[in-house]
Amino acid sequence: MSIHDKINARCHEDPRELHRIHPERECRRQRELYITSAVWDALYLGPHRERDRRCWARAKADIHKFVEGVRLLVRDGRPARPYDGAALVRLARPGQPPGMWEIRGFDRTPALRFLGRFAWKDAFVILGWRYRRDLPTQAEWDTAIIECIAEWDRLSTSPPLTEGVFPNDYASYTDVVS
Amino acid sequence: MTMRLTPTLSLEDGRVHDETLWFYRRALRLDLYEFVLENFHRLEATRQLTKRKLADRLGKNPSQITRWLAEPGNWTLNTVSDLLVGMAIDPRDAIAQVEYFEDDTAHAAIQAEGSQKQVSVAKGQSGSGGFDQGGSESFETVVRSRHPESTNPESVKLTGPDRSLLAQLNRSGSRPIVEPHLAIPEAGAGA
Repeated sequence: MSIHDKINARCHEDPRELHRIHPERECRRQRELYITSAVWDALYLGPHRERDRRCWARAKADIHKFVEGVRLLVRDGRPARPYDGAALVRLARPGQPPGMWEIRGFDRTPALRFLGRFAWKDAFVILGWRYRRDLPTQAEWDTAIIECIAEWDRLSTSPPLTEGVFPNDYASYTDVVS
Repeated sequence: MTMRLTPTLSLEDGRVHDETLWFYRRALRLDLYEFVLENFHRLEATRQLTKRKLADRLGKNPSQITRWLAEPGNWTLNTVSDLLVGMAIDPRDAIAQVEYFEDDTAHAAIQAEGSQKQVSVAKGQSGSGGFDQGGSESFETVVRSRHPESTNPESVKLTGPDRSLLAQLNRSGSRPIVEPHLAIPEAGAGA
């Protein structure tokens, strides 16, 4: 069974393990985005604390823009420069296990981080999320990433996309933020 | 059947939820950002523009342009306008794709106001606007229908489809229009 078949099978199980987010208006390009049930619940069911409601509404817009094929600003995880350009997708952390990425909003200090992996080119699976405030040190990052890798292993026994030239072998229509 | 996940918009609802407002503010910001970035990359790819040249044209520091193009987080409407004008693109084109009337019913309602017509646009000269496909149409009628608070069409800020009507009127000599000319000068021609 190919990874494509495995991912799609997870979307049709009962109860569902994965949900696919589809574009809801006409768009010239599309990406495939899958989210776990836990992420689905957080995104669409809430409820969230008063101070977090705004960032979740924005995150939802970011997620839908991702599937509409918006030009992605990507970073390859190099240490931040004096101006840490925002990016919608970037490597979770330098030195982490390969294939872990994060989706973050176009904010200078995005409040939410969605961690996930590319299953294949232009197909991203969000495996978990964290508030940025809950990731103050490398140790918290490590824990979050280990949990996401465990989630990936539970959902798919196939390896994620880790080979190829960054970023064009991972996603179409990207700009590298330097 | 796919469930709709983005907030629905309906006049039947009462007060709009904060989440809906926040969602669409962000979505619009991202759409404008994409429009600006797409055009910048198109001009950059054809060697008509660089960040430095854009900065020069706007009287800004190149690092400011880099920051603007790296994220739309702090953009204002002025930022969008300045960046597009710097690229010699009419900023109003960013919303030119908006279709005001989604069905024939709304279109018919506009046509029913035909008795107020003052300036007619000849059938067959229609542009790409969503309202001007069914025959003669009046610029004033359309403006009043969309902006009932205004009695002076000249005072109304126009969007894309309206501008196509304006262009027709301009061509027909009914309403002379002078708009600023936007163009990126050739290298060496002076900024």
